[in-house]
Amino acid sequence: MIGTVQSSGEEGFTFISHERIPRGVFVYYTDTGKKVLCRVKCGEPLKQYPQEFLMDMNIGAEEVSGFYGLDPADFKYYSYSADVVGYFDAALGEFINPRTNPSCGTRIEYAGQDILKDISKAGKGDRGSALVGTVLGSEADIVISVKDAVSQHVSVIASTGAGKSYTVGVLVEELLKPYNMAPVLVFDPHGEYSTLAEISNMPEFITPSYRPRVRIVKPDNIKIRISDLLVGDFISIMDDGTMSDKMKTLFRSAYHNLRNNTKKQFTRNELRLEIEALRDSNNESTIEGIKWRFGKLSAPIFDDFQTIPLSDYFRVGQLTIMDVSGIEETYQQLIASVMLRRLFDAKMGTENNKYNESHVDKFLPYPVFVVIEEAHRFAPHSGEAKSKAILKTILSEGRKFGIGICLVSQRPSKLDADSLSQCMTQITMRIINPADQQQIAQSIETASRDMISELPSLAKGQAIISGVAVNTPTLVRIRRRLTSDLKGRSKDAPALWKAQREYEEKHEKPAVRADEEMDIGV
Amino acid sequence: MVLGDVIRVDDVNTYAVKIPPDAQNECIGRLVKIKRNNGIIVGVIKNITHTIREELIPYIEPDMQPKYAPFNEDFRNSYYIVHGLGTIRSGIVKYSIDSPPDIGDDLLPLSQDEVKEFHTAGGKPSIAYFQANRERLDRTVLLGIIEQVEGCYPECCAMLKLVRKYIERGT
Repeated sequence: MIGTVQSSGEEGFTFISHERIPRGVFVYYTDTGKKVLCRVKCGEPLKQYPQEFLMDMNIGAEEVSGFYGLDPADFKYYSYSADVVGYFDAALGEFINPRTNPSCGTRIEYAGQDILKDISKAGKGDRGSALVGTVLGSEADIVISVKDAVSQHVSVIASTGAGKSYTVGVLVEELLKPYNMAPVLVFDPHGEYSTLAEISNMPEFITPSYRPRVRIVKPDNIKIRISDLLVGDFISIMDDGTMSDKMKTLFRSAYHNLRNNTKKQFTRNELRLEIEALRDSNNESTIEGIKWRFGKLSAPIFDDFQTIPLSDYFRVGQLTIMDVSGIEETYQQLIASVMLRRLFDAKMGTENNKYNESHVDKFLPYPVFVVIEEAHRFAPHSGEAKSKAILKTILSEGRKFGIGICLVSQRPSKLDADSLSQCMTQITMRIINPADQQQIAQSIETASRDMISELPSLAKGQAIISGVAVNTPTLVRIRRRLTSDLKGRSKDAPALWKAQREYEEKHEKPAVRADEEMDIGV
Repeated sequence: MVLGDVIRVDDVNTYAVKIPPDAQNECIGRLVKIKRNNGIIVGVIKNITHTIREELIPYIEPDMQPKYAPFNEDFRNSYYIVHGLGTIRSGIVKYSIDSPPDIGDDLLPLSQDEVKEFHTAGGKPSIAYFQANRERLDRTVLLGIIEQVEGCYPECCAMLKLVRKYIERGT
């Protein structure tokens, strides 16, 4: 027994204990034979030393208290407030809140692994499971349900350095394990996920019949096919703020003429000819203006034929890392937009029997999972991004068609609130910025006031996992990654400076001194 | 030097002591002792009264009045109200009293050595009876005790300073 219930009320109950119990720890009491799981909200000393006893820095409060006649042992008791989570109903597969609080004097115990295992929605190593860590302060595993997480989207929110990419790495590792074999694509704006390539050679991922594949697509190999762009995309690429309405109207006409009258796929030259075809005596200069701006589409990222090959990127048991580092942000948005649009079209078409095996690169008969790093760039809270609309569409409708999205961001306040609210599994790590905390409170239904207050104090690698993939929000220590995480680590700047200085000293050439005989006194 | 003799025991901790006309006057907060068997009861003067309880007179036989209403007969003197704090018996200090003094026992001032002895428990300085008697003794009485202990026991002045602040705050 670790404590005894003192009182209870609308806000839960309080119990007294001589143990120091961290916030978020699970305890339980027994009610009519059922073990009722509870979560410790906060604790404070039951008694406090008189403030005067704390004023002499050379005398301990305990010593003065003993001298005065207070029992120092009395100050070692704590009063904790706790919430009732409920008892686990195996038939329903969830925690049922008994809607009563424990009565005064009820014994409180630490929740052991036999109870904490019920927080997980899946068994360790089962098909559709992802072992992401352990309950903080215990050895009980937290295994999230891949089925729920992938189909209803995931958010990974953390301030920089809190272990966000590391956690995504853990999630991806689990998805590539033999018991999942998921098709995963990571949209990687910083090129920090390349170490996940180790997956394909690690024994933990390999069985006699399965070996995960990892495909890293370098920026030079990412191409946007001209005919995959929408008219709005063209205009946003060409318009530097000087494109007149007449130009835009003429360009739209050319685009739609080409789309409607000829074929679905076209080249830049065909589009240019279509623009040229609109030329008459009244629009000479306008056409010239469009053609001049059309030159922007000659950037190496655009191609007449090559595109994002969906069927190559999304294969069962394959991780595809789209390394878009070094690519301009607007082009990153464009790549994301085109990729997601094509994916949504392919998945919707496959589900609706519009596409079959004969439709190369459009037939995707299995669910896929896409990780979007720096999600606030692709679905910003304020302002527009080319990828925002399709991302919102997939987040709201993707579940039906088997597209799971994982939004990863360090600035939730800059992330579109609707998009964030569509992620029904949340992995939230240390967040210090009050605006970010507020955004989480507004966007995540399961985020309680206590959980929000916990966010700034989370250590690196600690997270609150909540939502549909677990049975109750839980403080979790994220497990160690199997692959290395060197790319995501902060650089040790002083050590690197020292090394550089040593290198320079070693290779320094002696200073060339002027010959004294040549000194003419100038 | 006898400060007076016990004339009434209200409870195990509270005694009335009649002050003889020629005795020196003491202030409240003065640590005192009452000899008992092979030890002493240590107490503190918590009040001084001059009560004449006239209302009792009609109900008491005249020859019994000196016994049951000494205040009425002897209105020239004052009376100390002494609060018992603990005992020193065979060198053992206890901050509780299991047996009150008898009527007629002498009240004496506590010597400096006895003050130090009473405020040493388990080899360490202690005023542990303060907490138990906090509600029953006025702030002035407690501050009076602190002053005397400071004079006899300089080793614990730093702690007494903190306790004095705490008592003065009055919470």
